[in-house]
Amino acid sequence: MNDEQTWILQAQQGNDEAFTRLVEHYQTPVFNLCYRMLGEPELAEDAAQESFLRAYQNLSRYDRQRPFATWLLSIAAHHCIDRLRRRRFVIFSLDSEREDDDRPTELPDMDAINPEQEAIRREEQEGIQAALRGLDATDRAAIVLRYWYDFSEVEIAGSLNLTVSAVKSRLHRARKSVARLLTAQSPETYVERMPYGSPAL
Amino acid sequence: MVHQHYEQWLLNDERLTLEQERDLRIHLRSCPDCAALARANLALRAAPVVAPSQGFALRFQERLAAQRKIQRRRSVIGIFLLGLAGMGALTLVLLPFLPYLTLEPEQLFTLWVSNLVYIAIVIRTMSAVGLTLLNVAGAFIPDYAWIVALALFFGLSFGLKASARRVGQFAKSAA
Repeated sequence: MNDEQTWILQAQQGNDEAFTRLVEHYQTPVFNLCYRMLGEPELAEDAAQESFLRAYQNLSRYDRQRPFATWLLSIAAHHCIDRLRRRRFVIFSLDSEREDDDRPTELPDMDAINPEQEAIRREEQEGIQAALRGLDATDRAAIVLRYWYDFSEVEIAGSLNLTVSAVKSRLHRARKSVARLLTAQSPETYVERMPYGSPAL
Repeated sequence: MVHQHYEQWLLNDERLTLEQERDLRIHLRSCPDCAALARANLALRAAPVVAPSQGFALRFQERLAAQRKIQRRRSVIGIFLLGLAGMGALTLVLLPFLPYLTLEPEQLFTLWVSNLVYIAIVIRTMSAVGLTLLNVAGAFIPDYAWIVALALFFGLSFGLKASARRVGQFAKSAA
């Protein structure tokens, strides 16, 4: 039995310290998923906290045969999808305000080794977030689970309660949409380069 | 090879052989749609993982404690309301008997005896009325009607018994 399984078992028996260890271990993947889904750090923090709370409350129902990360990320993804659906109209109005360029711009860190590259990187990240915002909530979850967590189509289907063929078609549609949105933003920015590498998990 | 073939490779995120990769690269130079797809794939793969600010676990513990406090308060209020509802129901049930508490023991005994006598009289009267009705009905209803009614009664009970047996067999086979 590894550390994670021990913590899960102890947490299921009511050990809060063990659950805190699980929180520490998974805080980054869960926060990243919420951030990619909701697009705002404050909203992501709240959603990530709520996801852990739901996991804590439903820990007795967790099947130990299933990977804990998949179960936890599935809770977070469903929570974010629910939030996005509830806030759809608000998000639309906020998005239209953003078009007026009201949003504070992130300035490049001048102390960084290469401030120009840092600025480009930030711009690219904002571009990706904007492209993700253009997707339907479930499509966005499928894309995030695929690209940041290396989930297979079967795992995505299990996490989002979809069929494998539905996941395939959602990924196809979402990829085309992201490509279109990124090209519309900046046709020449996304030059071929090596990915940063390791997935979130 | 046609455009759709390359597009499917990109959309399905397929693992390509060296030769296929070379073919794809040549196609990307001439196809802006596939080039955009390839760029999007790379951009998504290159996006970093964002971490929360320091003290996330501590903030979670605080949130958990606050949630527990709310749940405890809710359960206290729930128990109080349940107790209140129980008291109300008990009062409603006992309300008709409250006047008896003011009576003397002899009066109470007399009351109980008179109630028992009343119940016995009601039962006796009802059975007498029932017997009279049966006698009257016996005179009016012909014999064959009784036979048909009895046959129907036995037929129905036989049908019910048979269906109950079939349901039992089905449940056994399903288990």
